[in-house]
Formats: sequence, C-alpha cells, structure tokens
Amino acid sequence: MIETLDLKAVPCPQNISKIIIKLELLDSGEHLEVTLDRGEPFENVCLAIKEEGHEILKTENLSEKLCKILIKKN
Amino acid sequence: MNPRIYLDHSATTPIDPEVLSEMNRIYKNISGNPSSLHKAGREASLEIEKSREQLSTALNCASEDLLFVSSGTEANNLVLQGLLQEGDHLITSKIEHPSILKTAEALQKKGVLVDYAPVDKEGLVDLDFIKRSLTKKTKLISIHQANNEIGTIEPTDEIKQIAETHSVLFHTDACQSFTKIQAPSADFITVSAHKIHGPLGIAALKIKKGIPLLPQLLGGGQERNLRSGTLNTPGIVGLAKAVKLASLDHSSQMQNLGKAFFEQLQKEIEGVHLNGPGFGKNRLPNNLNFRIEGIDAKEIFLKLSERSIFLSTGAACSSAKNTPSHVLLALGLTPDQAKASLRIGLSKWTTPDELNVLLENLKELVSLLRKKL
Repeated sequence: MIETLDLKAVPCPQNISKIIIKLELLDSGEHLEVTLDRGEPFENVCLAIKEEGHEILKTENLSEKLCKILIKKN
Repeated sequence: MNPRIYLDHSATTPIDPEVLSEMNRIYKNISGNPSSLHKAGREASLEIEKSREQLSTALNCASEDLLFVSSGTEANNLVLQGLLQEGDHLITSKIEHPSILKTAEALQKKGVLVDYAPVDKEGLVDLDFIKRSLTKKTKLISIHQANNEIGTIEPTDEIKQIAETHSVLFHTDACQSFTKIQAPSADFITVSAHKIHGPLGIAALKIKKGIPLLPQLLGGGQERNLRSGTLNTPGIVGLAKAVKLASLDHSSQMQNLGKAFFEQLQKEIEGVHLNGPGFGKNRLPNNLNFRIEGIDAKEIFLKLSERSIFLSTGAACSSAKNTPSHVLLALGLTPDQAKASLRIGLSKWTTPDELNVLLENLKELVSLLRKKL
C-alpha cells in the first residue's frame, strides 16, 4: 500500500518538512503520494524533494488548484 | 550564603539541561527563518514540524491542529478574543488565571455576555451552574484543567460532555497540568513550556480543525494565518524536548514527597490546614497550598526568601501584591485565612532534604511570629 499525505493549503516550506518527516518513516524504495496545491507549492516541493535526494516518479493535475505527486524514497 | 531551595515550580521551572542542550544545537546550527524556502529555512521548518508532531502526540491531536504562540496568556487571549463577538456568551469560572478573567472582563465591555461559575471549597467548578447558564448564545466554555494556586483538577471530561451536548465549544488552559496528568480532551487546549522545565517565551494552542478564529497578530501569515510572527525555532524545539523528558512517574514521586512533607508539617506546627483538595484526589501532584492560623504568610515568604528558600503566597502574578488571592476567596476562605496561605510548587528535582530544610525554617519562623502576637 502506498503511503499518502494531504497537503492542501499547507504553505511552503511547511509542506516540504511534512513530506520529509513522512519519508523518514519509509524504507528506501518505498513510495509516497502527496496531494498539494498547484503553482508555487508544487514547484517548490519538487525542487526540494529532488535536492533532498528523492525521486519524483509521477505528477498529475487533479483540478485547477490541486495536483498529485508520487515520490520514491532513495 | 545558603544554597538555594527553589519551591515555586508552579510559577516557573528551571530549564532542564537536556532541553538547553537541544536548544543550543538549534542556536548553533539552524540559522534560517523557518518561512524561508532556501535550505537553511527548510532546516528550521523541519525542526519545527518534527516538534509539532511530537507535541501533537502528547496532546492526542493532529499536528495540523497545533499552533505555536509566545505564552499561555497569548493562547488564552487568542481563543477568547478570536472567537467571541458582541452578543456571544462565555461561561468560565471564578478561579481562572488572570489571562482568562481579565480578557473576559474586557470582552464584557465589548458586549460579550459572561457567566462565572462558582467553585466548592476544594475548588471544583459547579457543573450544575454551567448547565443552568447555557443559552442559545453560549459559544464557549473555558475552564482550566487545573488551578495554578490550589492545584484543583477540574472535571474537564464532564465539562466537554456538557459542551458537546449543547453544541458549545470548550477551551481548557492546561498550563499547570500538562505532562503531570493525562492530557485533556477539548476543542482548544493551552499548554506552556516554562512550566515543564522548558524555555520561557513559547507555548502552544490546540485548535480543533475548522473552527474560525480572528487572529490577534497580523503580518506574515504564519501558523495558518492565525498567529503571524517569525516562529521561535529554538523555543519550539525546547518545548518538544521538555515534553519528551516529562514522565507521569515524576508525578507520583512529587505527590508522595508533598504528602509526606505536609503530614510532617501538621505534626510539627499547630493550626496548619490544606487549601484545596486532598492529596491524590483531585489535586495536581506537585501542588501544596496551606494556611497557618494567625500568621501573615507574606512575612514568612519574605524571611524565607532572605534565606534563599523560594515559594509563593499565591500565583506568581499576584504574590507581589498584598491583596488576598481571588482563588482562595472563591473557596470561601476569609481574607485573613487567604493571607495566611503559602503555595509550594514541587518539581522532579525536589528532594526530601530540601523539604526538611523548609520545615525547620517554617517551625522557627512561625514560632517567632506567634510570640510577637
């Protein structure tokens, strides 16, 4: 089962911190699916997650405001 | 110079060296503003969010429901002033902390209706009064989990039940009780770090998700727009560490120590009476509040202070004033009885030896003062 995290309306960089905390609980290779706001939050999260050494496997727009990203913990 | 004996832990507590060391780690290594997007800022943000997770576990709530503020007073003000508007009704008690009572008074001037529930001789709030006072306009019940002067633990589960039944919100100030007894269940909970060997200047407020509050500080929109201001990373980390170090085992240790001391005090000095509930009943484990017949407690307090023994004649905010405590008067004590009262706040570090020194000093001072009469 893929772990999920709902970060709608959670500002940067708090959203990034919450993803990192969640990833720390996962084993290497496990996936985390995050729902978050489109625009800056999405861009900032993607950059930071890559900088932290993890992989973005998939991104998907859910609506005008929301999107979903699938992260692989490295 | 006598070694210091600090017995005023209900006012504030010395910081635990482990907390200080954790805060030093932050001061030395984490320099970013937690709202900044760069790596330094994200490092600070990560420390804060880890601390928030830890604190939320201790308060049995979601981390998203927790807000960091500067003090218990700020948290209490935010709940009352952020929620209540003209025409709304608040029920609180007569023995709340001044941060509730003064705020309630100020709100009354703005058209908020307030009822103050009386308490019995042990400080337990009158639940029937609360039930009778409820109206369609009642928006909030605010009753502390435990009293700061006499240590009475209020029946917050029952109060929450009453509030829920009538679709009223419930706030409890748990600054005195946090980590000493089980965490309360409420829509709003106030906790503070400096009462639990954490740093001054940091506190937290649990706000049940979805309850709209008007922020009292406007600015950068931190903390879900409810409390602007750069977050205090070292303080927040210190608060979380203090919570981690706290243990209910300390509570039974303090309670046993306090009970043994008081029993000895009653044996050695005539006319000593406990204010508030009996030990182990509805009383905070670290609280002792007693009166000594015919004695001006202020004189004892000052003499003890000269001898480097620190306790209090009431709440920290009121102990420097010469007015009798509103809490003790609400129990039905006379002004003279209230002025004959002393409060001791124990900590996990309080030793039997320290209490023996206090006992010997009390015996001597009471005897001297009684001879003067």
